[in-house]
Amino acid sequence: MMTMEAATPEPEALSLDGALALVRRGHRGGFTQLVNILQPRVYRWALGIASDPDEADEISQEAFVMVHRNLHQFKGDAPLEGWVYGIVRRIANQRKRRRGRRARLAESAGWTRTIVADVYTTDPGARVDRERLAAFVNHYFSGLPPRQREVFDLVDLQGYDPSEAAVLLNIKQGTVRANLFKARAAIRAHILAAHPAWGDLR
Amino acid sequence: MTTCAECLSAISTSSLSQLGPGSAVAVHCETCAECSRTAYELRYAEYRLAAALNDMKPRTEPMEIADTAVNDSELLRRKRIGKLLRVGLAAALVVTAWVGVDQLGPRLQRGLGSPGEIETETMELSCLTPAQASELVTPYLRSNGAAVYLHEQPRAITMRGIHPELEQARSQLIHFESPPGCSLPASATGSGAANPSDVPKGGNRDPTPPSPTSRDR
Repeated sequence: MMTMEAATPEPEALSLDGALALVRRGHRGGFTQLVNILQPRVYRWALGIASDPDEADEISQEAFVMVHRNLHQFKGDAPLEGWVYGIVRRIANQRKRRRGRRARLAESAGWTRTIVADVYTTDPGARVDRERLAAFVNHYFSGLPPRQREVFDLVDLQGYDPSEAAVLLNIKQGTVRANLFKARAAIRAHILAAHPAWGDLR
Repeated sequence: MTTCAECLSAISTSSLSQLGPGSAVAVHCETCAECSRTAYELRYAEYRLAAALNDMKPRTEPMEIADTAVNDSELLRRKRIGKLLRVGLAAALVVTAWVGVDQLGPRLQRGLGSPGEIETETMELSCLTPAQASELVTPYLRSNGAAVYLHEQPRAITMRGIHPELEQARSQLIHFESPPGCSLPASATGSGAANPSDVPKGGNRDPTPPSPTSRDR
């Protein structure tokens, strides 16, 4: 199992609670410390939901704006990570819905999508990486409901314990396990199907 | 002894990290090349997926993210305050307009002047005598504080009363003072109101209705 630390190493000496305490005391660099600690996790969560590095960057930025704006509302009776994860998820879903609406509107209006020059025009390697990742992730996750995908990503790919995932997703641990069970079965089916005994199992 | 089907069943839904050495699946895989290959493929596929996602690093520096977050958050806060102010101002405008219409509307409808306010108006008389004019307007001036003052030289009448009363009294006077003049019937006053001696001779008649000479509020 991959551990959280391996996936998103924390680049600083301060703990999350320490950084939070600094922010609460109004320390100037407190929020930067908090971002320093949370950014890799937030980005990884966003990447897991969006499957697109650029989109994940945008989601991270928006999430930290919301964190800064609403941090005074965080009571501290639940882990800060869970609270931030909720924000990331909400923003990712909002952006997804917004994109969907725009796409439908563009389609109904008969507009054609214009490709504008972006950073990938000058950095083809990055574009290839990005497209490869998106294709790779979509290949595995295609047809998976968002909740199952999230649970699988958190537990099997990021190394969270099902109980931690339950806290992050604000659902029961049993629900996490049920979703994980289904997600694994769906994702592994195409590899297992190559086994001669797969037919016996079905 | 674990069969291939049992092995597949186990690895289809279990955590691959739990299928370590000594587990039933691991023991079976030692003897079954097909299951061993399948388990390896599964592990490798999930490792590649995890590595692809975990190796992707954010392009923006934490410092930049934090600065942008602080600035954008402040911007959002100001926008929210601005929105609240706009809503507040709009509400205040609506309330002010409503109060204004409520207070001023009836006054405007009555032609300025509140109902309880006593006004004074003096009218010069060209046809009627002050006594006739007094008898004519007295029934209309009935509010508290209403009064009529007569002036013989020059002939005039001063009326005090609230606005609607004065309006009515004035219109009555104008009606009976208008050309062809002095149309007050004798029976109207019972005191020789239409006495020709009280009426100026034809040549001296003012063809236009007399206008109020003074009007006090």
